[in-house]
Amino acid sequence: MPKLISILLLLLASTSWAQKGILLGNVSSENKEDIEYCTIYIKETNTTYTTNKKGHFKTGQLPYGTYSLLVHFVGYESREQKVVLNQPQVTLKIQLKQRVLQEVEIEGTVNKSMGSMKRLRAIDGVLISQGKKNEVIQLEQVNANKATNQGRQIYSRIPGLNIWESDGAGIQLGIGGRGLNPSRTANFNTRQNGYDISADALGYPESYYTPPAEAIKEIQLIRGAASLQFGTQFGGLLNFILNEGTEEKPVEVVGRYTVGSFGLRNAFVSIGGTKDTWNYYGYFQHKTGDDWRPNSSFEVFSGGLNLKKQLTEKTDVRIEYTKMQYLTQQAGGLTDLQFYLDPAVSFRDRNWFEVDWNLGAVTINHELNAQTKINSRFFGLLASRKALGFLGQINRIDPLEERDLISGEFKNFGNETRLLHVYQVKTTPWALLLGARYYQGYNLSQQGLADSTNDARFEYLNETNLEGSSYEFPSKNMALFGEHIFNLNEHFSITPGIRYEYISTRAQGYYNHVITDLAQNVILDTNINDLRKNQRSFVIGGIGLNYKFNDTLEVYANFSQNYRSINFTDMQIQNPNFRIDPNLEDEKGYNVDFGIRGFIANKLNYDISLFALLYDNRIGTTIEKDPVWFNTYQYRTNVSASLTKGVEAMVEVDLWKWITSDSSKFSFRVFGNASFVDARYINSDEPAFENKEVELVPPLNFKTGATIAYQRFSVSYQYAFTERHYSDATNSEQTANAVNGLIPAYSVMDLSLAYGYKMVKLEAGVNNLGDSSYFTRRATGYPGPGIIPSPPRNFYVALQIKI
Amino acid sequence: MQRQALLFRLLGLAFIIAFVVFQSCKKDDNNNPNDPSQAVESYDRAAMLSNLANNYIIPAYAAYTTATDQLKNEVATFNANPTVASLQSLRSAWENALLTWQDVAFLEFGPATNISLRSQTNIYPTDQTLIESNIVSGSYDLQLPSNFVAKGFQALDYLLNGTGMNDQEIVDYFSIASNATNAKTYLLDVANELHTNAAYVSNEWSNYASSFINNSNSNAQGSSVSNIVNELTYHYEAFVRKGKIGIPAGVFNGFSQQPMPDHVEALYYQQSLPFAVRSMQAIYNYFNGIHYTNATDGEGLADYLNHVGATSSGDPLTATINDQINIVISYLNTLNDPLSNEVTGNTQVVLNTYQQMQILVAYFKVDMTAALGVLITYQDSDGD
Repeated sequence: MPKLISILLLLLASTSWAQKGILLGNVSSENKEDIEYCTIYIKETNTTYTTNKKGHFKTGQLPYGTYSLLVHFVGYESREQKVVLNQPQVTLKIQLKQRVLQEVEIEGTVNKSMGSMKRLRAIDGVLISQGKKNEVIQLEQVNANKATNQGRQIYSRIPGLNIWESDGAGIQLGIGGRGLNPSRTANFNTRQNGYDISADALGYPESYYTPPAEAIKEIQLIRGAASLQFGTQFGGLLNFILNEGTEEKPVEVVGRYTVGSFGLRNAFVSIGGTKDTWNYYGYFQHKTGDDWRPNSSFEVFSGGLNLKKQLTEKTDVRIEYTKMQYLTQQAGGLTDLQFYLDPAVSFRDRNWFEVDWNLGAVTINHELNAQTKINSRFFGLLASRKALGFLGQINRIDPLEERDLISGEFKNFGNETRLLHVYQVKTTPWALLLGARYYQGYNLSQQGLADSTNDARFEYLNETNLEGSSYEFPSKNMALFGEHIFNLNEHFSITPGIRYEYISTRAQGYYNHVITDLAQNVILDTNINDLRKNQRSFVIGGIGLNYKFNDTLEVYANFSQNYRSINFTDMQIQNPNFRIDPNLEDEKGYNVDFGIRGFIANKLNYDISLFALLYDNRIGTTIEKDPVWFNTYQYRTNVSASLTKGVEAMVEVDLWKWITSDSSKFSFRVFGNASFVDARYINSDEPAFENKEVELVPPLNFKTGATIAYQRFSVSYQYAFTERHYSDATNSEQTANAVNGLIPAYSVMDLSLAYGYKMVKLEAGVNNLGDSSYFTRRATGYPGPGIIPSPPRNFYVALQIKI
Repeated sequence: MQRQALLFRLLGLAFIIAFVVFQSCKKDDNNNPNDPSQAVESYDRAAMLSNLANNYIIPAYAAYTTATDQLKNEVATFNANPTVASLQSLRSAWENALLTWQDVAFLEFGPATNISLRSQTNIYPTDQTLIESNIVSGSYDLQLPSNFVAKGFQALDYLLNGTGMNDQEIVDYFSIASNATNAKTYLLDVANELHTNAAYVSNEWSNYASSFINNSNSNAQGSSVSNIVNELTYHYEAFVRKGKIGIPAGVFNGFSQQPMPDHVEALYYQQSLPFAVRSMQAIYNYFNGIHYTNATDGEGLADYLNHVGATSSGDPLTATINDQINIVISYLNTLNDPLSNEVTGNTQVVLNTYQQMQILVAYFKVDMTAALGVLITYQDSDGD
């Protein structure tokens, strides 16, 4: 019957005189997300239209008639739709189905069937992720101890992450993938809403600040192939997308209060909303606790504010400010013996750590036309970190003399601008991304003596003539990059990319040089001035391939060159017996991925990949001798290479729904992820490293868990296993000072519950359910040195009210 | 449903391929006969460590303990009856103990580190003022790090050789001087402590020996091979080359390079060179694995280097090192005591000796560590 009507209409339309009208429409995904840059091809007129940010498109005046619309967007199933234009304006609503992964909402529950993970769209805003291994964690759906940013739970679905636990409160995040050092997440290019948050992206990429889990909407992780669009680091991009104000009402307030073991108190409040063309979101968090060992109390303040204004239909601007401040007492490390006797002890009672972080950003989005969009981010950072205490080896008693104070001040700003252009070639859309980045940093790094008290007083005794050193590191960086998606046909795409970097770093300052006799009497005490410059430029490239067999099966492969910039500390010498290679280069290498990902029967989601990471030009120190005088000296140069190969696999399935039906209110979701990694030093100029296993790489890393959800209630359980591994490049099993040695295998279980009712949500859980005694890291300096034991079993209860 | 089954099979296949590729990659790395690291691994390290522990370290500590016991007894005898004769007898026991100390001074790992044996035993220059004030007050805690410069062999050097212009005056210092009783107590305390520390380490070694020998799976940091190589190199570099010759010769005296004659070992005894020569001989024996008591040649670092085929400028490294040790000894033998005079009166000859000592540092620290794949784990910040 409808066919008949349409034929009738068709006849009517064609016979009637040339009346004209327009087609208006909106394209969205099944989750009701508007799809931007979606192409609408009208066969009859051979014209193409593109949706704007709201997913809207509008044709010109067309004669009345029937048209075939071909709607296409990367990462989604294409759709052909016939439409009859028989009045001046016809409005369409088109929904596209995501190809890789669909999310099915369960009515009334906080969880979606496929859990907390999704993948990036091929083009997400001004980011291209086609052909790259990527993962997105949606925090709303993570059932975890968010007050302590419990990394093991939040990152549970991401295979191969080595997670360091430095304090029980999760103040600092330490994660590393693919055998890269987890220390302060420094092997990821760490960002918040797309702009840099580490102390200095190039010279000091340590993340002393990461946003509180309660303020995060999602965490995007693009593995090594992110280097072309984001630059430095082998680990790839780690981008925290913060919450935004709700679009549904002008004011929404969320208050959360968490109480946990060892005096944990965490208050979080946020306010957000949309009014006219304004969207705003602000949060404030205050967290205190005593932690589980003596001498480890902490107090953290963090807050953020963002304001977004839609200036015109095509332009919006967003202003953000973030502040974090914390003071923690550091209980110090333990030796192996001390750890096995009783990990809940501390042998340092006057070590402190203080951080103050300020970030500002202005982001402008502008649509030049329906197919071209510009995004420009201006960002700046003003921050400091200060570590105070006795840093001597943990097997020595604190002599109660003057303490060491190490401080760093960071000031930097930059701009990153991207242009995305989407155009139609035959029936497929191609996309071009071009970008430029300018970055200027200034870092002051000092070390000297502070008083001999127990107080958290971060003041040098001789500020103008430090006992250690004082260096400043001005730096500049410019980069140009481009990436292009060629959709050769419906199935196959090639995404090549290239990046040019110019980096200029200077190190200038002095170090105090003291020579003593055997009785420690000073023979010589002098300051030595030092100035060093390093300018370099280079090009890296890469290519990604993607083949979609069908809507639920996709094979991807990519190769990307990576680099890690020479760090500031690499350019600094602390004594005259140290020389730095004048031709010291950045660490370079590449990541290769080959993977298969997809979705089976809407219930099983998987991503299995092989990867290889070549890490060449690793910077290190060798001992050399002068051929004439036979003087020996330490020489910092590009020492060795390492090759890491492995498998990363993740599978998640809703068993209950598999057995019963999609519409069941009950869900039983099981996930497992594993990584098998082999990482070795090759071609090392330091014989002690040759053919040794790379440090901090667990050969097997395994997590599994289950979530049971029924309506508004859900319980999640997980088990994580990390195999034993070494903490240094010589593969030391044990050393007297505990700085190096084995990290024994450990397994940890966590349990979390959540129950929501109207505006109230209750969360509770147990971390380290089995009360296992383990450690994830050994520290060379702060917060140790020595073994940093991980917390025993601990509990939390959180109450959330949303108004 | 059929498609699902296919996908599952595909998935399974991918897993299997991944695993096989991964495992095969893993195996490759190991069997390369040309890889010098294979020779490093194929050596019987446990046998060498066993020889060093049983035939050098344990007997050497036993001899050192005996020497400090004799020293302690001689102090008791002297204190009971302070005469020139008993002083001379005591002094000879002191000299013997200090010579024996040179045989064990580079074993600063395991039990010795537990008590920082070297810092408690032989630090110089000694602090004469602090010693005197300790004696006057009669109240002191020798365990405090601040008292490390007021005890040990060098404090005894001052007490036995520097408290008077001649032997009679020294005897008087302990018999008729105003603080004689306190001085005798101090003398005994220092000697007793030397013995207690020696006995502690010697005794601990009987337990520690087996873990020392078994810690032989690799040459990684913290392994026994790494410990002996690092501690031998560090001791030689910092305490022999620098401490015994370099500092007195003025090499470390800032920009002026003026000799520092009061920085010699056994300043008041006016004989420093025998200790330096003994130290070099001990290093030679230990490096070659020669038994402490009967000079039988067992397995030592020298044999390990031979096994690896280590060379330096084309010559076997072992021979190069042994030759260099002998060259250093012959240079030391050309010097005359008191060294405190020699460094000012005959500076260039002392500096020549220092230069020969420096060459040996490079052989130990660069060539030996490279051949054995040992990482130097101590920081040397002096600048030469």
